[in-house]
Amino acid sequence: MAAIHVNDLGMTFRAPLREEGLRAAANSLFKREHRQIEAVRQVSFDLDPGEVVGFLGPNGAGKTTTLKILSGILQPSRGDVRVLAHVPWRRERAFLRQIAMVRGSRPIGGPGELTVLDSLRFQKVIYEVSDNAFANALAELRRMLDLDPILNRQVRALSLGERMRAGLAMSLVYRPRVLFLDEPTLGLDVSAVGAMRRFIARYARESGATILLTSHYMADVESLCQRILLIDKGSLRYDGPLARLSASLTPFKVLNVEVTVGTGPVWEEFGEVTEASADRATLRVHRDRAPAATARLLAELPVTDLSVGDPPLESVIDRVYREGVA
Amino acid sequence: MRNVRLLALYVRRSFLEWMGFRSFLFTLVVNQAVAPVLGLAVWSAALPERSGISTYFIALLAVQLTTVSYEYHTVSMGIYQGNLNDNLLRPHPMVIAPLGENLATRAWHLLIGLPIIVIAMAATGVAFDAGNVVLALPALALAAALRFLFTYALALSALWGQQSGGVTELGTILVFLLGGLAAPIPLMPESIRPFGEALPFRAMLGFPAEIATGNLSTQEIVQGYGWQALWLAVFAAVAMVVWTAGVRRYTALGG
Amino acid sequence: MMLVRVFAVVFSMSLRRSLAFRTNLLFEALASFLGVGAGLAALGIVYTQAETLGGWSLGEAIVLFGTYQIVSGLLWTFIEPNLLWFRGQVVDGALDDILLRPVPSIFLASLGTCAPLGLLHVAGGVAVLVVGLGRLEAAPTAGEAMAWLLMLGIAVAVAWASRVLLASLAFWAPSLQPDVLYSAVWQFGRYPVSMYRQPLRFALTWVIPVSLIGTMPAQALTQGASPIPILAGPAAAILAMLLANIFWRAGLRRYTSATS
Repeated sequence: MAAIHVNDLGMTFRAPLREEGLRAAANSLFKREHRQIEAVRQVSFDLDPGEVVGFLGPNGAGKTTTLKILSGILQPSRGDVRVLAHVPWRRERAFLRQIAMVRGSRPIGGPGELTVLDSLRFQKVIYEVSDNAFANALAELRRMLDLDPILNRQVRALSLGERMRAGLAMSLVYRPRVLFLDEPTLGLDVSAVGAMRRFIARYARESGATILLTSHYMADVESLCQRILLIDKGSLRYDGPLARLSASLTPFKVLNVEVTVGTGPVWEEFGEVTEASADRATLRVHRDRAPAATARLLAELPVTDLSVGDPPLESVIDRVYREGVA
Repeated sequence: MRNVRLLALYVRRSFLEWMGFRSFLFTLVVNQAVAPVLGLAVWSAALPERSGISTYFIALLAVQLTTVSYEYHTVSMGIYQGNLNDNLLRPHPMVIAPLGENLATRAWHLLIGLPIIVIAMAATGVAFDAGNVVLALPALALAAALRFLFTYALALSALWGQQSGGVTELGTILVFLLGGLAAPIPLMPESIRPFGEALPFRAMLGFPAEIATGNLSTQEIVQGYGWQALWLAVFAAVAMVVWTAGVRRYTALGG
Repeated sequence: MMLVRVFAVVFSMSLRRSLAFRTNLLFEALASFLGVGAGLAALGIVYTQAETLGGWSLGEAIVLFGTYQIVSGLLWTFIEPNLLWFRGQVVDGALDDILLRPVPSIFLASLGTCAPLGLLHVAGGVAVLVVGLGRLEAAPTAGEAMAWLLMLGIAVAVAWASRVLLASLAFWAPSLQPDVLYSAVWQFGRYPVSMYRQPLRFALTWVIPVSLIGTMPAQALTQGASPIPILAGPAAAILAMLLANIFWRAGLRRYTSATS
């Protein structure tokens, strides 16, 4: 049975139209005009228990809205959602005790004056974790997240990286079966990002929890997720293995060519030029024509190096974000 | 002269800034109106036969709105949040910015509070004698200046540590008790009244209201003005001393 | 019950934290002492000019002030830390954190943190109360004391409900900030409600039931327990809490389906 089941999900917001100027403000007192924003439309997918899935999409694509629906914070306009067999927006206690959401933009909720340890104990009480389970989980998290330096510090005095670690600890101390991570590496420095990725990978392996991870950083997704959900303008554009994402999103191949110095070929004759100098170039060619283009390059130019590959995932995603799926 | 132009600039800027927070301003004004209105209710219930009680407290409401000073929230919190460094870099005396903000805040308080004053006057049937009001206006200006200097000096205690909240609270309580809010000074017990008249708190709040009510003799008015002038000089000096000493300490210790 | 345990944990943690910051504790004590002193002094001055206020003698008025201070202190300790500037919490996403937790959101939102230093104000109120009781002609009976306690509980319950109702407004009109207004109006409760003139008196008894936090409980001690408040009070309190719950949930439904 799927851990997360989403079918034909749709979310439409009613946002009031706000115009500039005094006259508009006066008018709005009497007649409020609204516009409909379709944040999510006809999204369907299933996640099996233990899957670690990456959720990609440009800003405003609907990722955060979907996560909020899955965690019960938002009630959708249309569609059928089950997480661990519960309807999320009913916010049943049995449901809430099994899920966790950690947001990179706001890792810790709750009163800032509590220490990290006190916050963890608070979690213990409200999630009804037994003393034994709590002690075990705490020991493990202390090790995995290096909590000792921050355990007795007030939450509001922590740096962002420390807050992420504390936030993760607070979310995992009750061993949720489903974990939503919204931009977990946001704003972290390089070493913290690496540590975060290693931690998530390890936690996924050892706990068997189902993890849905959103991120702007391809490297996060590449290192952690086998499967990608790509959402753009509210619709699901791709659902499948990471390896095939590039190929399915773009029909192009990238050719990197190097020639003997001094030849100065006209690169445009061979394909769309992404980068060029006198003796090397990067060409974009439709994958159907790639073999022919390669053969022609080899035949007509004094090639010293040639490689044929997929466009880098970053640039593919970048193009998707800017122009939509080609 | 340049400082005056700068001040006008700050006032204008602050005034426009507040435009975006009109509903918040409204709640602030209501908050300020509570004590005078409560005083009105209590004292007219205690002394129903006495004329001038309602007049006094409504005048006091107007004075309250004209002299309101939130320097704890602007200056002290600014220091605690580390904004002092920005202010020290500016090429003008630091007092100009808070003063400009203060004046703009008071202008808004009056603007929004005017309907409340009008309603209160209608509800209690109070009417002011124009002559008394004219006599009270200079006192009002002096009171406004004095209260700013007083609150500003207290707020600067933030340069010494975390206690400026407590210090400000103490100042507020003193103004409430001895400034004519808890009780009009003329109605205070015999033993306390002379102190009430001499201390700066009446000079920054109750005195203009007393003049506007019309219950003071010419001699009392002159005496009151004398006290105002004295305390104004004292607190101007105090504010300068506190500022100089505080900044020296702050820049030496790094805040 | 889990809620009781959560409440106990919240309180003990906050207490431990407040006691750790000793200078702050000292200042709070001082501020509370001075505030109470100023209120008493103000009362005293009024009574130098009048024998009664709305029919209440000085001793009775002090009992009233003490009662008011106790209720205000309790509100300040348990409810204000959560619901003051609730609108800010809605806007910056703190409410989402509350919704994610397996505890009824109305509980976490209104009682999830507390400021035990407010109990100093309660202590001040108790001291004032004792002073006032000493000045009454007749000491209250045990029954009257019980009635007072009951009315106190009702006052806290109704104050909680009105606070939640006010906070719920943020779901419909997020640009309003009624918190300061609300605190201002409560100030009227420190004097006997009979002192105010008529439209105000009616408003303070039935519209914003400010008389509940001072006048009515104090009346149990000063003028003897009367049956109507004692019988109707608990019903009113329960009604108020139900109403608060209904509004909260309605507001929450709006929040969870409309915001972005």
